[in-house]
Amino acid sequence: MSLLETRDLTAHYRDFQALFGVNTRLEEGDTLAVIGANGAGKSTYLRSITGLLPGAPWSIVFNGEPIGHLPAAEIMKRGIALVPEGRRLFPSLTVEENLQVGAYGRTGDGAWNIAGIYSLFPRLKERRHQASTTLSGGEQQMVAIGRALMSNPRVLLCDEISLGLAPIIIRDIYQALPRIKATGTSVVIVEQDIQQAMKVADRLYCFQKGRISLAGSPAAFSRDEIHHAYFGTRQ
Amino acid sequence: MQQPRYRIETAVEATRIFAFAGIGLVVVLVLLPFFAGRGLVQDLIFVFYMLALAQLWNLLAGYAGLVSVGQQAFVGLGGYMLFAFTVYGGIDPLLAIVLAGVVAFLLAFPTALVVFRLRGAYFAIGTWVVAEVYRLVFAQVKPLGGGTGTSLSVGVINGLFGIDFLREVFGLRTSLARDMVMYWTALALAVGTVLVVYFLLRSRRGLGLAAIRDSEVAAESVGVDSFRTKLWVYVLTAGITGMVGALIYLQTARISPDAAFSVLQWTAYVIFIVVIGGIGTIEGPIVGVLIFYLLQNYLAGFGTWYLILLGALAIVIMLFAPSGIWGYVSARFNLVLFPLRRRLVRLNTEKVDSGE
Amino acid sequence: MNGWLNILIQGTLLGGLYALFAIGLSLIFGIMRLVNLAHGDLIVLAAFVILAVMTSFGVDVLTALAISLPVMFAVGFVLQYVILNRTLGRDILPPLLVTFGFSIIIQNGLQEAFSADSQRLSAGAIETASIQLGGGLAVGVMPLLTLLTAIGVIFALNALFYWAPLGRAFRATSDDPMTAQLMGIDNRRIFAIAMGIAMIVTAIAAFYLGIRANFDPSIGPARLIYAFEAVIIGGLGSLWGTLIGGIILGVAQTIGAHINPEWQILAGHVAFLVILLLRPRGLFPRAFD
Ligand SMILES: Nc1ncnc2c1ncn2[C@@H]1O[C@H](COP(=O)(O)OP(=O)(O)O)[C@@H](O)[C@H]1O
Ligand SMILES: [Mg+2]
Repeated sequence: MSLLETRDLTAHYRDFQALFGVNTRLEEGDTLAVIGANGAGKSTYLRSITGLLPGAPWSIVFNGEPIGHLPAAEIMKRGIALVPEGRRLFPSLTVEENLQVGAYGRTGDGAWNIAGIYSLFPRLKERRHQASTTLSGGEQQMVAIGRALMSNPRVLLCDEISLGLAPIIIRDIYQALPRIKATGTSVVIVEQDIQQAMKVADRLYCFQKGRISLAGSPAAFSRDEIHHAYFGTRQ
Repeated sequence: MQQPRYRIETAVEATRIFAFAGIGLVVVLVLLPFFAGRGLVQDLIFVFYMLALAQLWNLLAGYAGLVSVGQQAFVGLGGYMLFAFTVYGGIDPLLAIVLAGVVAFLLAFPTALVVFRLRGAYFAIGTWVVAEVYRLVFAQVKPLGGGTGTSLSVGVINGLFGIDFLREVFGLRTSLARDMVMYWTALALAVGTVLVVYFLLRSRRGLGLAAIRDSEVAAESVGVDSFRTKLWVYVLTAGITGMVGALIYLQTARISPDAAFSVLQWTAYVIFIVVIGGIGTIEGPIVGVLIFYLLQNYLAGFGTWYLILLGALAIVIMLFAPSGIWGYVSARFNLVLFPLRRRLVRLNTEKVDSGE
Repeated sequence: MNGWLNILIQGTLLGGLYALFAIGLSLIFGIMRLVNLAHGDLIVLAAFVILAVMTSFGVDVLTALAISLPVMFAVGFVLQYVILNRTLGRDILPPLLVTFGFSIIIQNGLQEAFSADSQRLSAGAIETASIQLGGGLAVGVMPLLTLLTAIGVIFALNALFYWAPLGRAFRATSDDPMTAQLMGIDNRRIFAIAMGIAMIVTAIAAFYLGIRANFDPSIGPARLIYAFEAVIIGGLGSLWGTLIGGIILGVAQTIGAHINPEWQILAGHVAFLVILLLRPRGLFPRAFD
């Protein structure tokens, strides 16, 4: 049994259908990479899993339990945490308060707590009492990841954590991934940047216009195949 | 291939039928006092001015997004101006109604200066504060009766334009002739208000209003001056509301600050009418006022329970059928009496519907 | 000279009462952007609840308040959870009209239950007790307690906001309700708790209102307006701003009443309008919105 599965997942924004029957599986301890062009439906996929978009009960199955119909707060309590696109820190909370609020609904029984986050991202410790709005983009991203980890999730979903960051900052952030995986957390990495994602992934899904255009082990595909699945070109 | 030509059209078949029926209805209403009883005539005066107030509030809240709970400011102001003009100016009451409207229109500008600094829900309470200020100020004006109020003398009311004419030509009693003149004035105000709202919404300004309602930012980006459009709607509404207020207190012939600036009477009831009938449509207030009239007739005797029922009804409708009774009917039967949507009509072939 | 000092002192103490009216309004606007047009009527409702507890259990006013606090919390929680949560969204009309409907229902319901007669909460000798400050100045014990209570309530709420997990959840939800859900925060519950807390403050306000003056079912809307004026004068930034707003309103009313007793309320409104014209965002506006 997979830890997290989507079965024929569909999603709508009013009349607009954004996902058309998406099937994915995530095994315990694995890292998934989800790639695709802008607007392919990657964020929608994560929003569905986290309960921000409502769906049918059995379209999302976590640990054998149907969760597609549950509200977001309930899903988080079961151990799925999201690092949202654009970070979405709480502006009136300090860095440390942002981290603390990440454990509001669930503390879990894992290793992550405030001290653990500060050792993962030492730069945050100096800034702990600053307003989150005063941080650089990279630091904000670290807070967003730390905030999601505070609940010791079984599944960590990351939506474009490299977006808008300088390459060396991206490297810093990705360096934290092995330590996160080492605690047993399963990870879903959503990226437009294929290279980053492929390096860390055990399994790859490519989205195109709300459908899965490619699925499998990253090593199994040629550049052309991925290129085609990503852009939908080739006559 | 021939280039298709288009025309923008708003009317549909049912609408044209309704337009003729509407004209017929107005004619019947004009002639009604000659054969209806006095009670009905007086009831209809009430229906007409509540309808006018409801249309105006609907224009403000339903179309311009200006949710005011302070329209009693202009009702009371109009009423007091009528008293001032007739008692101290010796002006004919009908002319005084118009002048009262002008005063309300003018005073709406400084009022807007204050309340337009508040947004959304705070605008609502701001308008209420202003109405309270008006009430407290008029309570200080001793020549107009101060806190206890004052009455119009019979002489002033019977000097109403047209009464003598009706008495001589039709041989009517003064009291009956007085009711008839007021009835026609109320009818004219109600029909006039409906037409003003209708044509305003069909004008360029009205299009701007619809754009603002959908998205203020987007509307501004295509050149709609949202502040000026809203201001214009606000002062226009205030002016007509002032005229309605003047008429109300001409009929009542007695005014006091607490009654004239009553939030229950001139705003709460009006809001119930609009919400129950259907906010954001011209038909809604018409339906709403008829329902309100029936409820008022049969249930007002229950006093507080009646008001509790009205409040509960408005809450239930707002929660479960926010487009009101008319919204339900028009969706169900695809019925539009006052066409405001524009449709693209292809002239050289058959009709195409382009949506809204 | 002493005359004006006295006015200033009395006005400040009156401001404590207005701040108590306003804190609940400020709180729920801050957390869920809801403007509650029934707020004033809920204050009056709380006063009647205290009165009813006093008469039916034969307890003194302080015990009655203690019993009424959880009752009012429950009223607020249920009102928000069952009804008001459904009205929240982009459109400002539903919450306004629904709370306006409640205003009418509460006023008339109270009149049905308790008649339109004026009532008062009796607290015994303390009602008229006062402290001599020398130089002919005196302050009433109850008005002084009112102001001190307002200050205490603000301290307590700030402690909740800045030290407790629940307070962080309030602030996070206020910032970004969507993302707050991802923290396991159930917005509907948080909003209901916030309304419950606002109703606790409301009951405290009602306690002082009922001891200080007569009340009847119709006086709610005026209390709403005072509360609203205090909030706007202070700016939507902080509860301390709301306290200052209440005090400015109280002083303005006291000055007006001193010139002409009929001008008390009007003077408060005028002060509000002047501040609105000069400082549209109030004296202590929020840093970001
Ligand atoms: N809130 C929304 N309302 C309407 N449409 C949306 C919304 N969010 C996303 N979409 C649409 O859904 C599709 C998928 O979007 P998204 O999942 O954000 O793509 P990605 O994350 O892959 O860039 C896009 O066509 C986008 O325009
Ligand atoms: Mg995305």
